[in-house]
Amino acid sequence: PGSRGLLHSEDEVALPCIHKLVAASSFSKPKVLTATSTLKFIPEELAVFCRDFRLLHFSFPGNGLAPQAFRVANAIAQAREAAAWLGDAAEGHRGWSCPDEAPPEEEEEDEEEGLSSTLLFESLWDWEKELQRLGAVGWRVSAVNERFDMAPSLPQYLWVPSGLLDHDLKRTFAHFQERRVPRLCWHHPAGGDLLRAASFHPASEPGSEDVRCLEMLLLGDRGPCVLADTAELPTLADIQLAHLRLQALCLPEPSDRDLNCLLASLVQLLGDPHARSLPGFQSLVQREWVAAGHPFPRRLGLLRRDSPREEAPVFLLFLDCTWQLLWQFPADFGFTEAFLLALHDSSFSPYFSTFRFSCQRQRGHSSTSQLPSHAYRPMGGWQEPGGPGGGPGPCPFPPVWAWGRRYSRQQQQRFRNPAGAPGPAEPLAPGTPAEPCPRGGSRLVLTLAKGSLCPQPLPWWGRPPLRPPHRVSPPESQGRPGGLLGSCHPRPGLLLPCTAGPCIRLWHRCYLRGLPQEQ
Amino acid sequence: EIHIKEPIEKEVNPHLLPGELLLCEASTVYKYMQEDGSNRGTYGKLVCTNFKISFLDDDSASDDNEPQFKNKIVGENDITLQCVDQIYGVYDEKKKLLTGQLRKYPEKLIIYCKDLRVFNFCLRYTKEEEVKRIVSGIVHHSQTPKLLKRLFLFSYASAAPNNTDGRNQTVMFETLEDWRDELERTKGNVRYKAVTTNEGYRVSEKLPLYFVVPICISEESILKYEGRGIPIWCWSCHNGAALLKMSTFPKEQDDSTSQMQKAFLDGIYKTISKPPYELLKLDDLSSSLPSLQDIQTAYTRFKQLFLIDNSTDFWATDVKWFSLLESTNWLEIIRRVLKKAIEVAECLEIQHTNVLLIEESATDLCCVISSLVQVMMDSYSRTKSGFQSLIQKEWVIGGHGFLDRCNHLHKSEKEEAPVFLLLLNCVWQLVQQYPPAFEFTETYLTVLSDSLYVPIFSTFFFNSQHQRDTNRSGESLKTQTGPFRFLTVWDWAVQFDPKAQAFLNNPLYAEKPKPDKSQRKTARFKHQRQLSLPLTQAKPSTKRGFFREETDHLIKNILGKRIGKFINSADEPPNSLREFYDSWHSKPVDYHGLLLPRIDGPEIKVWAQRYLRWIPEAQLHGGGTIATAAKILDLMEEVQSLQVKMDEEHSQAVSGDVHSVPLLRNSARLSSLFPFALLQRQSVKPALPTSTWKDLEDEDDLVKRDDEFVDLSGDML
Repeated sequence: PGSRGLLHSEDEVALPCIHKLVAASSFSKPKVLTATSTLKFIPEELAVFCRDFRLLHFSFPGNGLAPQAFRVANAIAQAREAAAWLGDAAEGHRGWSCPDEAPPEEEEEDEEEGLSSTLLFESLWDWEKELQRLGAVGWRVSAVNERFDMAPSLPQYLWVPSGLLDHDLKRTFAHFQERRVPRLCWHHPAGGDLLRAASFHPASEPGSEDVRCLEMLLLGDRGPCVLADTAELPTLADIQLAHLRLQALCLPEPSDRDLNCLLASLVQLLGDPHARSLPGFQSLVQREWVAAGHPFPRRLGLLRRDSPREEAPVFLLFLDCTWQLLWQFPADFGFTEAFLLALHDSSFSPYFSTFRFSCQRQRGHSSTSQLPSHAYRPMGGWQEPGGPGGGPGPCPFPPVWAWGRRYSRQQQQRFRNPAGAPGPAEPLAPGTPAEPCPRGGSRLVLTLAKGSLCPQPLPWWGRPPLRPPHRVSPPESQGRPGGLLGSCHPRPGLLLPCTAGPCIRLWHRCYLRGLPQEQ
Repeated sequence: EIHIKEPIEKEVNPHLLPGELLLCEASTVYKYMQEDGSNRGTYGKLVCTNFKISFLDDDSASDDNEPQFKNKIVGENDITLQCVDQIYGVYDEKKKLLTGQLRKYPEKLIIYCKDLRVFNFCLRYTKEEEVKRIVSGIVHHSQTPKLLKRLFLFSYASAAPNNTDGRNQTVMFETLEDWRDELERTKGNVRYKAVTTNEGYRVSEKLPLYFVVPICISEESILKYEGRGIPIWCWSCHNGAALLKMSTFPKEQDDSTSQMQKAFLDGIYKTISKPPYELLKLDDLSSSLPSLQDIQTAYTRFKQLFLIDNSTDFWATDVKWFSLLESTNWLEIIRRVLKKAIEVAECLEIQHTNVLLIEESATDLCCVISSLVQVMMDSYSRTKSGFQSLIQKEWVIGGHGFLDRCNHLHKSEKEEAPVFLLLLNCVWQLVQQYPPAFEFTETYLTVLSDSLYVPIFSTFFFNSQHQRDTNRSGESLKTQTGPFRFLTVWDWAVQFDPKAQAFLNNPLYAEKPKPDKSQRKTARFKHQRQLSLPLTQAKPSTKRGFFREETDHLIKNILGKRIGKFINSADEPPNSLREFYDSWHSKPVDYHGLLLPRIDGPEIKVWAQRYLRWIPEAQLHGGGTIATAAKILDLMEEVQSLQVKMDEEHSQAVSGDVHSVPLLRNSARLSSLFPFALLQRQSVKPALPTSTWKDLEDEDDLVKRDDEFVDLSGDML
């Protein structure tokens, strides 16, 4: 902690990172300053509450600094407002610009080591490589969305069943909210698949041909599919089910852009040792959040005050969850708390393509946007990012993973956990081949609700397929031999976090940085 | 329902210690492995001796499943009589506390232990007379008042004459020499002296045989009020400032007596405030710290969070865990005690004043604060032998009433208060904040806390040195070989074999480099460097500077309060203390110098190892601190083997002192409960919170839905 990269000292704060500005004097009440509500008294003290939980506290001693104090306070308030950009970046990002300086001459080779081994999922090659690592047989990379014309908020490349032709795949987009179709996000070595999708479009009325394609996409010939409702976030139960070789677990969420990101990445953190290595984690965030179209600017509250605010720290929640896991399993992660803190802080920094845009399409567009005249110039310059393989037009902002630009080598060394065993990046060894699911054949669709599975008809099915009634049996019945949670020694590589109260902690290095003694 | 395994008729006999007598037993007792409703468990024999309650199942005879960390005296299914906290009987699903005479005998027995284990025994299959005998036997021997001489300590000591010299470098403070050495070690011998005034306990039975007072205190004043009103030395800081303690006079009705006492005290204060003594600062702990009653109440509530009957209970309370924890106030008490210790450390270190701790008996909170201050300021107290010597000095010989405070004899619950546990909890906070500064581990603290209830050691079973000495003589056994020779708890070999003892030593302890004679100067320099704290407060600066400082303070106060209202509403400690604390924390830690605990709310944590070790719901498979520890031990082993290889290559020198490191390598991923819990089960939060479940039960449609659920478990096995 205490490494703020670009900013030179602990006393600097990026304008978008200012959460609240409060001025106080001995003669009036403390006042919150905004661009519209200006100061009516000479401030004696100024407190800057930062989004990264720091608190900068300035006082102006009375010897003739009064006018400056007044000007400075108002200037900060206005600059801060100007720093927030209007609406989504797609509407043009006035107020912010990318530096036009040339990249620095001296290039340190190993500096971007973390970056080069991080898959940015901007190129076809990245998707192919990761699919190969997962060893997901029966899936292929589809370039159907290459021009973002099928689903604007989805990435260019999607993992879909091999048996489904692009022609057929195209039929399915219309039936999902925001055209976000079900697609693979992770393949369990034992054979289960984790899918994510938006919920079905309420107005869609698929014809028979569409139904065939939809079912092909959702069910394939893999057997029953379980829909896990993100409304209750049953993470443990999810992996339980994935492990029980229910062939596929699909996460539908109305938008597929918030909690699905959280859940999909948490499941992978628990189940895939590679995701717990530093490059693996960066790739995970890149795929499940950045490429998947998590609307960072809106959720992090980086937009201008008067634009519609839909702030919700979903990504920060994910970082906190990751910290809980890191704390519970200190020897299983390749990265450290310092890394998570750096990522946390960087999310309020406007200089990274990672958090500036809501989807891949916008990132691509940004390269052509015009720069306003009052360009902000951060110290230092940027390296041309462009992951391996190029991808869409080079974005002028570097990804957040270019740590070498902002953090010293020494600081970066603190990102790596000496006790952690980074997972292998090579293809996962296939587990025992999945046994065919004994029940229901391939047309069974189940929902996971409150720890139990209930059959769920797809919207276009008239009635659920016939099957014998079954008794309630929560999948977690305790101590059952053979089950994931009943066995004494879980599969190596799988983490089973404890969710009981005593095991959940406050991430104090993150949240309590504002206390003076912590700084 | 219960799947009955044929009770095995094999005769299993309890393992008895010397002097241990079997009092009663019952066979075909069913012990639940886990009280989760699954009713799984084992049949066996429940016995009660004059030392312990013990459950013997078929496995207890065979020893193939030896755990790595095993207590030789108290086994997994043993509960010493002093370790029993409360016993409940279950009658028709209703729990009732069992204390004295019983009219009806329960079908189930739940024993809550002071080391936080919970045992569930089912007596339904036991013969009625056996139930009567065992239940009344257990309740009688563990819950009713006892005579001191009936403690197992005495039978053990007379049956097993102790010839071991288990001091292992621990200073016992039983001799004048020990006190003089301590004075010399801390360089307190210029102004303080060890006195023999209390030989034969002439002064007081509460005071130790030898103790240390300021040189200027006369023998008459010591004798005048049985040692009350006399400042007794605890420890001297490197700068000469001393930590003293004093027991006060009881409240007098008589005016003239209290006048005289006041005059006496004034005289004492005057003598020890004069040079060569530093300024004196008084701290009346009875007003500045929570009362013993508060501490007892808080701990009683706190431990209830961990004495969990069954899994259902756990998950039911889990929803409210943080608010329940908060409401116990236990962590807040730990915080206040740590804060007080920092205050005292600041006075000694920065202000160069002597600190006199005042308490009615000077044997409770005085012990906590003085021990903590020494652990923080004296790196010797952070070694194993140093810590043990400290406990001897301040607690055992210092006269802490262990017998009363632990209520070992069940004499009076009013006297009970977990004062020593409070110290261990505070030290644990330091250990987990600065692991490399301590030679011992948290496991050491945990087993030390468990040893409070093992009555084969004299350490924690007397109220004072006097009480121990007078009972040692063995009057009733005059014909016997003479005075009892008690074991001390510091002889860890009694409880643990060398392999298990390795868990008590911190492999990452940053050992103090041994000062070579040639390097003395640098060592001293280092010693001084650790004091490089702002010393501005100590001496008033020039007048002008002083004025400036004053105005600065004024401004700070005015504005500080104003802004403080919305920034930090917590009551702020005085400025100098805050500065001391902040400036120390802004510097890199010197593990051999002053150590200040961080005391902000979230930094004060629950001692998970001690309190959660028997709760499988809170365990992490392959996680927790043990995961890192295992990695480190692996590395150390590798380093050591490489070292051996190098030594072999370089010379013929035999490296004999390779420390043995517990072998963790071959074991599978360890659970966070390691090295305590042997049970490896996982309990999962019920998908439906209990409260919701209840709501749902009222709904009719649940019945209908029932049929639609799919049972997956059957096929997945």
